[in-house]
Amino acid sequence: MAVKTYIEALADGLREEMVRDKSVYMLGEDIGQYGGAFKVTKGFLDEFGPERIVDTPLAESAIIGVAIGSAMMGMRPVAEMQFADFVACGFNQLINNAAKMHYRWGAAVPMVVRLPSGGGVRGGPFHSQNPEAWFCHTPGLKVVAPSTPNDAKGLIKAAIRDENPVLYFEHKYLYRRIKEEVPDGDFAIEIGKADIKRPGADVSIITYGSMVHLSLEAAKKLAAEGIDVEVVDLRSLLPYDQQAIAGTVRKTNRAVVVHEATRTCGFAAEVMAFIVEELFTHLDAPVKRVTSIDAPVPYSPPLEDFFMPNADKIAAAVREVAAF
Amino acid sequence: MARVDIIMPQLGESIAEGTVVKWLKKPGDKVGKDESVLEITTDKVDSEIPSPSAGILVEIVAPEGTTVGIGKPLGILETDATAAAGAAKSAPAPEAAKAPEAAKASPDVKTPVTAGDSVLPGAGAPMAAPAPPPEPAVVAHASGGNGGGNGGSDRFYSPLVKRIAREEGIALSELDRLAGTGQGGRVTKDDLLGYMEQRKAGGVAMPQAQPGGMPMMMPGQMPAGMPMMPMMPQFSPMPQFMPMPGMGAQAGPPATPPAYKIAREPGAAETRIPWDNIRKKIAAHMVMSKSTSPHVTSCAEVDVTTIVSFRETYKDVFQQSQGFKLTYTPFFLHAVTKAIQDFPGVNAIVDGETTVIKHAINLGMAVAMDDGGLIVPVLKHAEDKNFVGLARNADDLGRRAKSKKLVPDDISGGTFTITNPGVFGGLWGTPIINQPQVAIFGMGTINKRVAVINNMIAIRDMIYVTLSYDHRVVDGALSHLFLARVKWYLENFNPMGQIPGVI
Repeated sequence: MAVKTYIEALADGLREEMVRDKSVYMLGEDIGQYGGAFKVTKGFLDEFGPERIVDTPLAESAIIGVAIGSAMMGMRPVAEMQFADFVACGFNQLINNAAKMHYRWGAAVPMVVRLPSGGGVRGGPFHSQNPEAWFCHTPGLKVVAPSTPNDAKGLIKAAIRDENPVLYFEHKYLYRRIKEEVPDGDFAIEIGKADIKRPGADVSIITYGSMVHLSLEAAKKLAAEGIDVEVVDLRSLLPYDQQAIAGTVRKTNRAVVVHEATRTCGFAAEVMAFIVEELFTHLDAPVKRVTSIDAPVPYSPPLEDFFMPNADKIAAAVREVAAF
Repeated sequence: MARVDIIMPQLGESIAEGTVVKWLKKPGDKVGKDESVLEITTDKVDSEIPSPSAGILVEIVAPEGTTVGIGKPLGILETDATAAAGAAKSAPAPEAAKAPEAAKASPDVKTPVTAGDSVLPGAGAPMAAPAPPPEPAVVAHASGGNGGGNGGSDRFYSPLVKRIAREEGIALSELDRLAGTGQGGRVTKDDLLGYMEQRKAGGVAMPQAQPGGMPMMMPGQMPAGMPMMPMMPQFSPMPQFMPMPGMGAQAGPPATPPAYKIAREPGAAETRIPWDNIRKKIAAHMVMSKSTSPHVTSCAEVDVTTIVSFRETYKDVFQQSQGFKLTYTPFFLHAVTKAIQDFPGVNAIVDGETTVIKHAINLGMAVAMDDGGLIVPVLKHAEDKNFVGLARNADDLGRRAKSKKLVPDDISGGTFTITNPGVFGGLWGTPIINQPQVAIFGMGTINKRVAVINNMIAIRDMIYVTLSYDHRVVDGALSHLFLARVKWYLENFNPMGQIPGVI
C-alpha cells in the first residue's frame, strides 16, 4: 500500500499486465524513446524492449488498424492516442472494424485504446476534448472513464483482459493532481460497475471522470448548507450501471447528471433518458445536467473556465433541484 | 326571469320517444350547465340528459316512468337565480313513479340484441377477463393530470408524490389540502411523508393501500449488447402491480363475471328479478327474431394452428408497434369480411318481402358487459379496412363498450353480426339472428384436438365456427359455401404485408 498519483497507478497497472501476459504489448506515438507525451510509459522501453513497446508513425488509423489485426491474431495490444482528440483519425477502424468483427464473424478483438482526454489544461480545441459519446453510441465497443488512481489501475487491468475492444478515457487533468492509497499487487475492477464516491440522502449527482472530483467539492459546500449529496461515479459508460442509477434515484428521488463533455447528445442525455423511462415515478423533481456548453474548447483561459463545469455550477444545479 | 325547457333530445336516427328513468335533481336544486339532471331510456340507449344552462330546476314536467316524445319538455329551469326560492315551492314534488329497479343503476348506453346464448366480451378488449378491480379514486385523479393536473386539481404533483399517494391510498382531495414546502408551495416527498407520519400519530385510520394503476417500472432496457464476456449489470425488473387481464384466453373456461352472481336474501326461497327496460327489450327482440325467421345453424371446423402460433409469436411486437393487444377477434373479422365479399348474400337485411343486399359490410360484435348486460357495437365498413385497421377498430369499440362510452351511432347500421360463445368456453352455439339482418356468425372455443393431416395424426388448434341464418332468404348451400370460405381464409391466413413490423 502506497500513495500513488493517477498516472503512477495507471502505469503500474500497465506494467503488471505486461509482466503477467506476454501477449500484451503497447504501441503509440513517442511511447518508447520519449516515454509518452505524458510519461505514462516512461521506462517501459528499457524494461520490455522495442518488440513490446512500439513507437509508431503519426497515424492513428494505422495504430488502431495494427492493433485490431494483431488482436485478431492473438495479441492483446494497448494503443495510445497521444490525445483523445486524435482518435477521430482512427474512427473508421474502431467503428466499422473493431466494433463489428465479433458481430460479423465471431472474431474476438481484445484490444485497448488509451485516450488522454479532457480540458482545464489550456490545451485549446484539439487537445482538450471529451469524445466518449461518439463511442457510447457504438454497440460492440466498451467505454470506461476512471476518476481515481484505484479505478485507473483496476480498470486498465479489466480493459486489457476483456475480449472486446475497450476505450479507456484517462483524464489529463487528473494525472498528477489526484493521489490516494493504492493497494499493491493485482486487482481488477469489473467493467459496468459504478461506485458511490460519497453517500448522501437528498440529491444524487451521477457523473464520471474528472467531474467526480468537482462534484465531491460541490457536495462538501452543499453539506454546509444542509443538502446531503450522493456522488455516484459511473466509471464505465458502455455498458453503464443501470442498477446503481436506479438505486440512487430511488433513494434520493432527485438527480443531477454531470460531465465535462459538451451538452447536446452527451452521455448525460442517455442517463436522463434512462431515469425518465424507468424511474419516472421515483422522481420528486426534474432531472438537471451540468456540462460544458455546446462549443469547441476555447484556448483562452477565462473562456475555457466559462466553458467548463466547475464546483459552483454543479452546486447551483443541485440547489435548484433540491429546492424544487 | 328566464325559463328554459329541458327537452327530450334526439338520441338516435330512428328513435321517436324516451322514458324518464330517474330525476337526479329535485325542484329547487341548483344545476350547472351540462350537469346531468335526469336519466332517460329508449329502446336503444340509456342516457343522462345534461342541463342546457345553469340555473335552478323549478318544475318536473315528466315524472319518472313517463314516456315523452322527442323535442317535448321534460322539466323547466329557472336561469334567474333570485327567483329560485319561491319557484321551488310551487313546483310539484317529484313523482315517485316506479322506475324499473335496475335501470337506476345504469345511465349509460346499452342495447338489447339478439345474440341469444352467445356473446363476445370485449371484441378487441381483453377477452374473458374478469372485471378489473375498481381503482381507487386517487388513481383516476392523480394519474389524470400529468404536470398540469386535472380531475379537479390544478396543483402540480411530482410523479413520486403521485405514486406514494396512490400506494398509500391518499385521495387527491386530501393531497390538495396539504401545505407544500417546495417551489411555489409544491408538495414534496418529505411533505407527504411528514403528513403520513402525522396522520398515523393522530390515530386516523389510513385508507388501505390498493393495488392497481401504473406499473412501477418496466423491465430494464439494456444498453447495446456486448458480443462476448458480457459483464453488463442486469437491471432487475420491479414487481408489476398492474393486474394484467388474461388475453385471448379462449382455451380455458373464464371466471364468471361477478355481476352474474345473484345476491341471496337470508331465508328467501327464491330471488325475483323484475325485468328492467333493457331486459324487456331483449326479450321482445329475441321472441320477434325467432318468430320472424326460421333459424338454421351450419357448422364448420377450422384448423387455426397457424393463427395461434402467429399470434403467440407476434403479439408483443404488435402491442409495441400498435399500442393495443392482438386478440383472435381481428383474424375472424378479417376472414369473415373477405368471405362476405365472395358471398354477399349473407350480408343483407329483410325489408317486408324484399331482400336488401348491403354493399357496406358493417359487422356487429356482441360484447358482454361486466354487469351482465350485452351490447353490439358495429364496426363500420369492414370492407375498406386492412387487418390492423379492423383490429384497431374492434379494440376501440370493445374498450368503449366496456367503459360504456359508446354513442348511438356506434350501435346502429349493422349488416352482419359476429358473436363469440367460445370465450366462455362454449364449443359452439346457435345464436339468434339480430333482426333485420339475415345471418350471425359464431366462434367456439379454440381447443387442441387430434387431427389427421396427410394420413398422419397431429395435434392442432381447432375451432368450430357456426353460421345461423334466416332460411327464408339464405339457402343451406350458401351458408355452407360461406363457412367453407371463412375456413379457407382462416387456414390460409397470410401475415405478409398485413402487420407493420412483421415480415
